[in-house]
Amino acid sequence: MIIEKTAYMSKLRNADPLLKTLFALAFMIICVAADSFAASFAATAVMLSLVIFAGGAPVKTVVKLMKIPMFFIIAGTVAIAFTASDIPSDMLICARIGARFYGIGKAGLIMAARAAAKCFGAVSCMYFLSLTTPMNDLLTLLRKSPLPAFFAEITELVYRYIFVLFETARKMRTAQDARLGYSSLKTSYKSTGALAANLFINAFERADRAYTAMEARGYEGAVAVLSDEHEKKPYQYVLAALAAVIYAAFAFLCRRWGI
Amino acid sequence: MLVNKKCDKVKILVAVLSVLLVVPALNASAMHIMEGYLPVGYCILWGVLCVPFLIWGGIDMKKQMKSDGRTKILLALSGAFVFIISSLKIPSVTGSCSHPTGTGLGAVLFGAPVMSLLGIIVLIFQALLLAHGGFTTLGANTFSMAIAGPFLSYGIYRLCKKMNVNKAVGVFLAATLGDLFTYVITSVQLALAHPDAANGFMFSLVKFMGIFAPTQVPIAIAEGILSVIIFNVLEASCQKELQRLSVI
Repeated sequence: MIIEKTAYMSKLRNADPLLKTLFALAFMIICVAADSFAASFAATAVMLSLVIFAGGAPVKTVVKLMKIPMFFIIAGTVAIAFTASDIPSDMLICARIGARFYGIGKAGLIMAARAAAKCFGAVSCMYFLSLTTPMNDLLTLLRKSPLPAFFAEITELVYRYIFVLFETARKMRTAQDARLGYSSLKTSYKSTGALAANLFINAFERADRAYTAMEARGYEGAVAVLSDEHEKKPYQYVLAALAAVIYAAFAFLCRRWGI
Repeated sequence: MLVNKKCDKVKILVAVLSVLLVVPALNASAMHIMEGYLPVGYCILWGVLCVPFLIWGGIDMKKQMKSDGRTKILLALSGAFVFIISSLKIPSVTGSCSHPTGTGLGAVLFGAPVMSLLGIIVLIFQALLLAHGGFTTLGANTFSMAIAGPFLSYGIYRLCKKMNVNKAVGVFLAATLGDLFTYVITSVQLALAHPDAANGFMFSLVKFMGIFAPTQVPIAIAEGILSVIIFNVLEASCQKELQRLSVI
């Protein structure tokens, strides 16, 4: 998983995860609440340059990741921009069906573009967090949060087992592929089904074995984990707070001016 | 007969066709609303609506964990299992690949309340590890994919079981209709957030449902078929485990 890999290599990896999380969430919420082009572009620019210049993430990776929301944005843009009207002058392109005009509306297109920009801004904020902070750090935060302990623990275990099962699934797939399991549509379905079912059986047995092993090592309902040490540089807190305040003021003005 | 020159039926036909052809050809994931696509008010509203279901799931989980110490690890592996299922590519008729949600089968296997709590965990990981969905839209996505869909799937499966319908048919209906319900709820969420300026909510709903139908209807059917195949193998080779989960 490319996001995890980039996070582990990031130069911002050792910064306080709580600070990074709050910073990303603050920008994200302001960006969504502002609903303005300028504020969205500002969030995208700030977050991606932090990821690339301060974090040292490869530009190629970032570009590739920014393409992930594209499917949704294209579909969403078309859906928002498409409209019907009695007056053809509201439309950029339209056709008359019956008594009304159907097509891409001017107001709708602006609304859709704004939504798309907001989406890029908010996704960039999320990428800042996920590309600079390894999951283990985030899970530590979850454990310290007021949420119930068992929820954090199950989340931790899910994270661990995702990789275990992923590896098992990959091996099964290779084996099936080598036996022409994916040569036609029919065999693909059969193979995918068999893979999932066997993965389930595998998971079940693994859970039993893991439990026995843990019990043998004194497991009494809680998994104790050590968390990494993080460097806590005061200037980072000051800069982050300053940036968030400046961004909030900027977003407020953008919203007022309607840009 | 002088209609506005810009208004040309051919143009609109080309536009509609290109959308219908292009959208399914993209590698479609399940219907995650992307980060930032909903206004703040709706983010909070959907999040709040999820809370009672999640608490229900939490109470259910705790009860199960008390009765058997093994349950915690089993639940964790189930969560990971749903994550992996949702990242499997299923070949779709249009030639592209699509991902199932896995929540329908999960609801049948683990029960709907537990599935909703596992679902939100899976959604968090999908947002962080794969950039599908996001934090601001976590509430909305949880409601559609981890609550609405699974609860419907679970209800249908139980109903089919009571009415002595063939188990394969029950699983197929549960998974397919659960998927379709998820897609309808997501469309409702998007339509509420982006109502058509001139024609209102219903028009918007039709638009969103129309634009996602070419990808979501085939995915739902494919997921139904796949769930039946998985369930058949499970039924043939692990009766004991399914009994422990009280599925059969």
